[in-house]
Amino acid sequence: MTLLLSIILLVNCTKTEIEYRDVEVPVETIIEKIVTQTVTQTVNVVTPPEEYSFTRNGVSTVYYTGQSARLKMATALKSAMNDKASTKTNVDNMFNNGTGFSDESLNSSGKKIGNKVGTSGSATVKPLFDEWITEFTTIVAPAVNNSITATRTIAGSYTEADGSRTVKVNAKGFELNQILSKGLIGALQVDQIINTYLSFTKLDGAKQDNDDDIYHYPTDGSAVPYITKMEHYWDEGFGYLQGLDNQYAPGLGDASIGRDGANLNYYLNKINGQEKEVGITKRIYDAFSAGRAAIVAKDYEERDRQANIIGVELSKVIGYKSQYYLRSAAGKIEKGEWADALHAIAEAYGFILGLQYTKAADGQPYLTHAEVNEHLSSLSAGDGGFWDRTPTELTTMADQLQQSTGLSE
Amino acid sequence: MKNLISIKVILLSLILLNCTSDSDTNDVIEETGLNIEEQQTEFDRLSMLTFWADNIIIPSINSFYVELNSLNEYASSFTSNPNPSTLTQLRDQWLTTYKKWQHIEMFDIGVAEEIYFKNRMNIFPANVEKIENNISNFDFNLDDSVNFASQGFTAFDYLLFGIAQDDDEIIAKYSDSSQNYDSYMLAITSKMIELTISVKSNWEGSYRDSFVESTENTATSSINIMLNDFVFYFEKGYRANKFGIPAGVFSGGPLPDRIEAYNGEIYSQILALEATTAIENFFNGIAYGDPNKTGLSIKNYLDFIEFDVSDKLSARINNQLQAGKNKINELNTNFKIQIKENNHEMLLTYDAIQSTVILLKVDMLQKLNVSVDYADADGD
Repeated sequence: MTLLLSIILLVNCTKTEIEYRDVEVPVETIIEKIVTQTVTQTVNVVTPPEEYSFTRNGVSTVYYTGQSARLKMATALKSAMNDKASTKTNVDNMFNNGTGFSDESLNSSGKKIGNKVGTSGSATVKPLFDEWITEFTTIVAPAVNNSITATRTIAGSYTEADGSRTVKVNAKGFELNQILSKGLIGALQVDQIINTYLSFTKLDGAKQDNDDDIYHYPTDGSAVPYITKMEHYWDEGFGYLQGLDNQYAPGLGDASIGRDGANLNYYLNKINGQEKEVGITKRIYDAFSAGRAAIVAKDYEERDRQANIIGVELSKVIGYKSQYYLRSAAGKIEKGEWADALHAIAEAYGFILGLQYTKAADGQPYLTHAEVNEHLSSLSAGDGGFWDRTPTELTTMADQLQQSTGLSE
Repeated sequence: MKNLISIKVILLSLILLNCTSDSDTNDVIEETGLNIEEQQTEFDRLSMLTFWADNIIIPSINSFYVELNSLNEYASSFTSNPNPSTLTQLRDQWLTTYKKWQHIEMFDIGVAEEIYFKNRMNIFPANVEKIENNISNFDFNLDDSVNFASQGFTAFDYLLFGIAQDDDEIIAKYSDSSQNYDSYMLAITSKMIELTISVKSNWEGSYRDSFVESTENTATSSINIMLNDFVFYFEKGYRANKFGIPAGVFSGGPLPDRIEAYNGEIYSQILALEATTAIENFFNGIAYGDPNKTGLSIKNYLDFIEFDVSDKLSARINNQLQAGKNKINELNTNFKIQIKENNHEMLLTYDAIQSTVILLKVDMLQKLNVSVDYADADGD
């Protein structure tokens, strides 16, 4: 038996050199030897670079301008969905056509985000964003323009008693810019990174080209292709996180030159401040670097291992924040601070939507599409929607999410 | 038993050991799961390819060709004598032929691929402006790619249902030969026959043997190409074209004018269901035109690899195909009405079909150790 196994080992693993001196060693001992070998091998293969910087013949092969543009669009939509002057045509153009932004460079970028929303999951999710846009521009904004004070079942604006916050909400108390913006963190950014660009299907579809050093994309300012498809896909995944920040260092970029204040990286950095998750930004950044290096080295198992780390770690942002805002809202309701409460429930609602795009350590999302819909229905239940929620309901849901995600602060 | 478990542990560690080839490792696992001393015979790829060629692909093309010739006859009868009766007969035959087409669109291989067969037979929506220009000028080249959307079933759909408000007006247009509608219809029919003959003769010639004999597992071997074609068809021709695009999955909102057989309207569901049957038959190895005759199939191939797995991928695929079919059956026969009145149901149907895409494109191809030979081009 042992002899047979050693033959198999020798036949199949050309890279691994295992000596079989003693055929009488029990099988179990051999196992231990092999496992030790495995660890050594792995360490030898991975040499993560210090920073996300890759060149070919001295020229950088990294760019993700499309992702930076889309993150700027997501940021601008968040503002537009809180602006009482917004019209349906205008916001619809921003979302679905990538035009109508005050930043002209976005209008001419050729990029848009509407067709990138929730692409890995149910086709019923993207139309929700269109509905929110319609709802805000045709119901909430006109109500605000008519100075209507929002209350249960009435759309308008609602200001906290101490004047600390004003929210513009629909008849169910939905602060739609929060729902849309937090929704995009999951349904656009996390989904595009985990389920599209870093997915096995996407990357392995470009395997042959990468093996053959076929270049498809030029670097900026050059006409000659210098970058393989697989390299670029990975960069695009990176760009959905780091696109408004610094390519060469984890975390948020320098405030003086602008940085993300509304998207995935912004919230990831909040998680990085939690006691249990200190260093998560660097873990993700390093995994991006190591995975990209693995692609250059044509080591696809290593690439997928790093992709998996990124998926699991990034998912935590959605996992933590969906619970956090529910608990926060519960506390606000108890204090009677309804503007803050509605604001927080809307954030939770958007993050919960994103739970279906996550990927836990077992490779599955924290919640399925159907489970997400159940939570969203519970949150919006009743004619008053968010206004009808009680602290107990919200805390119970947060506890359920803590259970589903296995995450607690 | 203890030894068996140990072997499994070792084999698992083998995977971790950074072997140079995935396939080698997998083979070892499969063989060992059965019995390490017993030599596992290979799946009979030759028989599967032979069944595909002789019992599915060639018979379906032949059957299509027969109906296409009838379509030509009915088109001649109608154009030489346009009246409500000949129009109805022609429409019926158009639908019959269109249904047959649903069985061969996925075989985008060999000459079919070279001559862009599927793009010329069934690209939709039709380019109505171009068709009308062709008809009025009567100066066109159907082999030019600018005319791909002005020929085939989609153009026929427009010619049969879309050129005027009602049947009387449609018949009137064909009654006046100076308007060229009749000649254009016949030109399109001839082209459909011509293209089909190229594909048919290719299969009847040497191509059949070279297809069947290409049993290896390489990027250019028959099985790999056919599996890729099948998955690509499922993802693009079936999922996206028939459901996703009209439901607005890839655009800002629904596009009901993108349904298949747009002008005929009521045929979109029938055609989609026929395509579903063709997909199920190919996957399960059911002979064309004879549900009782079966042969080696993708399902058998998967089951062969998963002989020791109880939750079989093939069963999950069949269940999901059935789930998709159930959703399609719940839709309005006219997808245009469905999309306008309740697009949510259309989107849920898309979801059910999309679930099968994942099973086919990710799980199945990985299991069969076949690489996807097409990638989305949206590198931005």
